[in-house]
Amino acid sequence: MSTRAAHLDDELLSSFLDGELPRRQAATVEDHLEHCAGCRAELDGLRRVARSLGRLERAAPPPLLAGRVQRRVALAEREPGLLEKLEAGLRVPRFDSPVLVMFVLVLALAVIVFLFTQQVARQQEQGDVEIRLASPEDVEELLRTVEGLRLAGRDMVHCGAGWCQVGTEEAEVGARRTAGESAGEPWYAVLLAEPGVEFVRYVEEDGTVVEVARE
Amino acid sequence: MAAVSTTPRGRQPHAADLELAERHRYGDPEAFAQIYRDYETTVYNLALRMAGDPFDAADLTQEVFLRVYRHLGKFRGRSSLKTWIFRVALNHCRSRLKRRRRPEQWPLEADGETEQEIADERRGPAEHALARDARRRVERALAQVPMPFREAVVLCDVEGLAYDEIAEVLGVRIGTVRSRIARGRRKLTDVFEREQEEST
Repeated sequence: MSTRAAHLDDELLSSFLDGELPRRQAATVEDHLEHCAGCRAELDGLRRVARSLGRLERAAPPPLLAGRVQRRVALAEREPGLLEKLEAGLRVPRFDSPVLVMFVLVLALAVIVFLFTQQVARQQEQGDVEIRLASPEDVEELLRTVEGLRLAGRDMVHCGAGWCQVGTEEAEVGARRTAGESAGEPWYAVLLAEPGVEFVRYVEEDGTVVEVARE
Repeated sequence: MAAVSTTPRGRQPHAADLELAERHRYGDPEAFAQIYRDYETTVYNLALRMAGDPFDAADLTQEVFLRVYRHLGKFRGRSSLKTWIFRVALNHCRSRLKRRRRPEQWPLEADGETEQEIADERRGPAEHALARDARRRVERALAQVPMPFREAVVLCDVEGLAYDEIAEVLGVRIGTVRSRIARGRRKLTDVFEREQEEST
């Protein structure tokens, strides 16, 4: 470190101010400061900041706080919280060895890749499709498209504000359009029905599952 | 300055802290009461500097001590109780404030009735007012410092922690502590200089 040629940076000055430099480095900084008025001024500036923080008045906690804490502690003593129960149930072991950490990471990655490929294969097999809809025109277009397709019925369709998901199952379906309003926002939906089933189901924006009798 | 746990010469490091934790584990209510007395003001002020609001600071302090109460039994003395409590407090404040999603800033004019200094009998009303103004000026400046630098500067200059203790509390290397403190102080210097220019 050449302390004569250039000015000292903030980090060096700040650490010097706090007495957190190794002795030899601190001596070099002292040597530089003797000859550099600019760095002395910088150090003074940092010292003023540190002092103004150090002199900050400490605020007194509200007088009732201790009582509140005491009550909460008494409650906690009587019954462990849900969070604690969950924590206890989900406690993760500590991994101190890097090799073990790597092993766990590789294993987790392998599981994720496996599950992902399985999912893709299942989707390809079943022909699941997800179609995004933005308007009633898109709904009409979808209806024209899905008529006569073999679609899944289990949970049928979720058509709400802007999207529609269609699964497949070995069944012919019929379809009808519907629309509504949720929290002031219009939604557009397609109800797809399998022949031979009494009800079709769709899911509202708020997650409510609605069953509709077939016409 | 807050009461700080001491480690008498010749004893195992943090032995006094471990003893407190042990007493708590065995159901001695005085152990937690002592910890609360020792650290209440420290935790409240730390929460105040993080949240910038006395009501939020009181809530945060309450929650932090609840966590301390629940987890004190797991304290193994790897660090001092002081740095352990700072770590619990800081992590809790961070997570709560992140969830709150409010901008990080101090109320421009803190309400004198809700936020009171610890009384100093030797001072007159005029001195109190001057000290309060100075405090608000520093707190406003502090609020403009990005959180990671603010945490490091507060722990160093307000709480008086050494760099290795700050590294332990923040879970970072000492080099990072050095850099954050320097950058925080630089930011504060700039804010004070700008204020000075604007007032002249």
